[in-house]
Amino acid sequence: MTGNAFKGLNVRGLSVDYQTASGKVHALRNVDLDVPAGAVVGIVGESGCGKSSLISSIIGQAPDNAQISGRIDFNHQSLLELPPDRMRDLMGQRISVVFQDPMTSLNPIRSIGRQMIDIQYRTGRGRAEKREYAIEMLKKVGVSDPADRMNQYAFQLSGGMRQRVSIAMALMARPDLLIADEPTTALDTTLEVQIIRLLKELQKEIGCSILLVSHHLGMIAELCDYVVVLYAGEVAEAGTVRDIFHHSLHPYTRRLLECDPGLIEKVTRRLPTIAGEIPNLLQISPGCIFAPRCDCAQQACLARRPPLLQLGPGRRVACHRAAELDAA
Amino acid sequence: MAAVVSWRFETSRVGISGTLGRIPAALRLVTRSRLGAFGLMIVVAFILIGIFGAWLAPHDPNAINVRARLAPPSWTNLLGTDQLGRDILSRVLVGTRVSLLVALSSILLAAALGILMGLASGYGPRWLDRILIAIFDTVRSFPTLMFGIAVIALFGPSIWTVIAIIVTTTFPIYARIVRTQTMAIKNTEFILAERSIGASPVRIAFVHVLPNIVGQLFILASMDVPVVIMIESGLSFLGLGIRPPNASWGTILNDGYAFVRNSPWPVIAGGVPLILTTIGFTFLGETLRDLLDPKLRNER
Amino acid sequence: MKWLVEIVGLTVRFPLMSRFMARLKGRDFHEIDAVADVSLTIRPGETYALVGESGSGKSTLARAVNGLVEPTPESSIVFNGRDVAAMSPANFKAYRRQMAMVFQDPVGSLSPRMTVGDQLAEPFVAHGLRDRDLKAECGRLLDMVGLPPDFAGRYPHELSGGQARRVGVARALALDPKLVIADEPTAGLDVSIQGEVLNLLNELQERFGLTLLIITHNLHIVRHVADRTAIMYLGRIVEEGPTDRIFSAPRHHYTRALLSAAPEPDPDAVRTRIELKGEVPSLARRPDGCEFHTRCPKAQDVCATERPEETTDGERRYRCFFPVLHEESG
Repeated sequence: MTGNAFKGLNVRGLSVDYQTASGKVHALRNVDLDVPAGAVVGIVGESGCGKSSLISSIIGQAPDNAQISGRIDFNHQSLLELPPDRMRDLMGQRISVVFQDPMTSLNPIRSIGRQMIDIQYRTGRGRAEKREYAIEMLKKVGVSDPADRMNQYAFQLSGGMRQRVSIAMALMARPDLLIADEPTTALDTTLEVQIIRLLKELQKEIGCSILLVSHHLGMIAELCDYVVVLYAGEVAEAGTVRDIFHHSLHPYTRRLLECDPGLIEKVTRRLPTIAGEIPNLLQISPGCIFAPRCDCAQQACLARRPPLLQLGPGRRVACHRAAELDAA
Repeated sequence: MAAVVSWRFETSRVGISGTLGRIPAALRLVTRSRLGAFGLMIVVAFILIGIFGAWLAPHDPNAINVRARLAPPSWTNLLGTDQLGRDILSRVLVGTRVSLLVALSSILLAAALGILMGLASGYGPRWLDRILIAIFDTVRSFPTLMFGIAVIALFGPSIWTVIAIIVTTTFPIYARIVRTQTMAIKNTEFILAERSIGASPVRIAFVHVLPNIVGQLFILASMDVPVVIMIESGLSFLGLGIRPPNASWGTILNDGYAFVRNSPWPVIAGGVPLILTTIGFTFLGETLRDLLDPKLRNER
Repeated sequence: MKWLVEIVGLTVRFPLMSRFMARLKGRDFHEIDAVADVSLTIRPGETYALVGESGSGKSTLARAVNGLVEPTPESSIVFNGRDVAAMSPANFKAYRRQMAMVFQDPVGSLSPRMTVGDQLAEPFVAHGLRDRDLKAECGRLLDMVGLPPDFAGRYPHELSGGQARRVGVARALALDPKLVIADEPTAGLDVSIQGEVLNLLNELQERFGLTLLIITHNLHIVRHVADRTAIMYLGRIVEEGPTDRIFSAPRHHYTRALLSAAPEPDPDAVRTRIELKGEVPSLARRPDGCEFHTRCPKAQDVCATERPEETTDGERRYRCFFPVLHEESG
């Protein structure tokens, strides 16, 4: 546990534009997000929703042609204004990331043990201690024969193992915030549930916050306390996990839940879909960004941006018709 | 999204290939970088002079005028004259054609041979691959100039011998690259899909594999041109390539070398084009390589 | 006819190293069976799902049926009455037109330098059918999958995942196949558009009387679209039967674990999860006896030494000494 109490990650009005050959892509628009200390916040969104831009902006890895505006405060400290060396310190100790493809975080030409010992360079531990700690972390994430694994290389491990090692490495420093970007998308379902259980246990033990990005609704439902639904670069809806799954208000969230084949009770050959495609982010239309695909859109929806209705602490919906749809 | 012109065999009537239409866009991308623009300029100049050099030459490159031998640059002879009074500028211009001819034909032949053998090696059966690799490695191990000297000793010097030497010693490089790229592509899904449709291996190799690896070959060729020209110039400098009185940058250098104490101009005149073309082609090649590199593509 | 596809004893063997090298290295194995002695049948007009996790051999099996990998000589694949495993390559090429495959990577399975139009013309050109009006055929195929005709001029990288998938389906239908094999048809697609490709396949099946073989690890969609399902583990079929029975009353413990493993999109769901011990064993070192015993929560002594015989129960098949006998739902 870190010395000073962690005060959370707060994102306000985050907008990210990319300057490309075809024009300016407005990937993220005015996103607000809070990750309180010790909470698990999930970001639900499909392709094009802007989650990669969100993550890369937070961890300071946005590409060169990105123009970022807004605030990202970590522990009341602005990340966007942080010089690169301070950012690096932060990234190694207080913020950790687990990626979709574990090979991104694992160096293919160094042994697992070597990497796990190396990343402890900031601690004052001796070599033997570092090794012990690494083995203990491997044990904790359920890697069999941890002492032997230390000498193995990433390519010798299965996908599930690699992801566990990535999680072990991410949590070794006992960070305040763990960012997990689609950690199980590349894994089979039986492995996914093991990783979910692992994250749950570790989160309880270390008490870190987790920012989880996934389009697997089942994983979000199981792990998260709060959920933010992103659509085409905007926040469609936010609230507790029960608000989102049991009392969703935004038409996109509702339709998304309807489409999940796991939620469809009756066996059917015609599966529901959301017709249409995500809009072109070069030209943002004046109305609600989801209106072209929404089956309850009205004139007002196409004409004006929907207000962000604040329906309670942390409960937000961006929809003109949220109130009436709620009553229905 | 390759900026390089990619060609493919027109094998179906549907969808006229838009590759010719992509040349202007490709050129624009190349000229965006200063190095690329500079390189392209030199390359174009090289090609144009190579084609029209004989007409551009102010004097007959072989006209001997002993009274004006080894003259420094003047208004009549912009680069001065060599030891036989021949106008160096004219000789350089005409020599460009030699370099162009040698470069173009040897690279085209080497690439063609390399493509055929590389495709067979990469896509064909393993025993064929093993045989071909053995051939590539053996040929590649010949030291070029020694090999060249030996061949010339056997067959006598001429521009065609030079080309043959260059083709023989460089085709394995192309073959190797084609082989590696073919093997990398061999198991991708779209090749699998084509096999699933029932396309023959030959069709797959030429219609599906080749267009996707040809970009790399362009870069290789571009970087190879200066090397080839150097080999030719080297051989000619040693007196083993172009026979007098024909002009080539190498022979100009050779002649100039003998008389460098009397006048530095022949050596400069013979050397500067070599340096310029090397720089030009290298810049162009590197720009192309950067353009084709997917990791450097930041614009989504 | 009774079966469109009849597979008996299909084995696909990959060498890891030559026998000589194996001896040098002191290893007792030098090859792996990605698919081991699989027998199954597919009826004309039905949708058959092959389910398994990575390494189960499901994709390899599909590729063996499609002629992309070679099975062992003892394998028998009878398609539409002819043994295709034993056919000469020349005969097989012609026969191949009756089955087509839609690949997992929607954009990656399209040739990057070819326009959609050229890509759709490929099947015709590859089989020498140049007398057809290719442009018209393309238009017809695009229309069949609900894409406008101007898509013919687009390149694969200009297509979205869903659109590229449809092009893949269109290409598969070019030569009027009887069997369409869909390898992970929903992989990489957002949940909100997964239904599109499945609905499309279903509609085409109804229109043209196609038989569908779906390879997937997504049990949720299998439950909705497949008539019969087979579960694969380590290259073998562990259970097979009508989909609704498999889901409502699985017999094999692996099936049961798979069914219980899918995370519920409901924060309040009660999760009785059957967790499997350990990891999938290496194909090079298959466990003795019942190959699942190393991970099975109900394994007993006999499971480690003897292989269970196949039990046939009406339409169902499975191999287990101690199958799940109660009517529990996963």
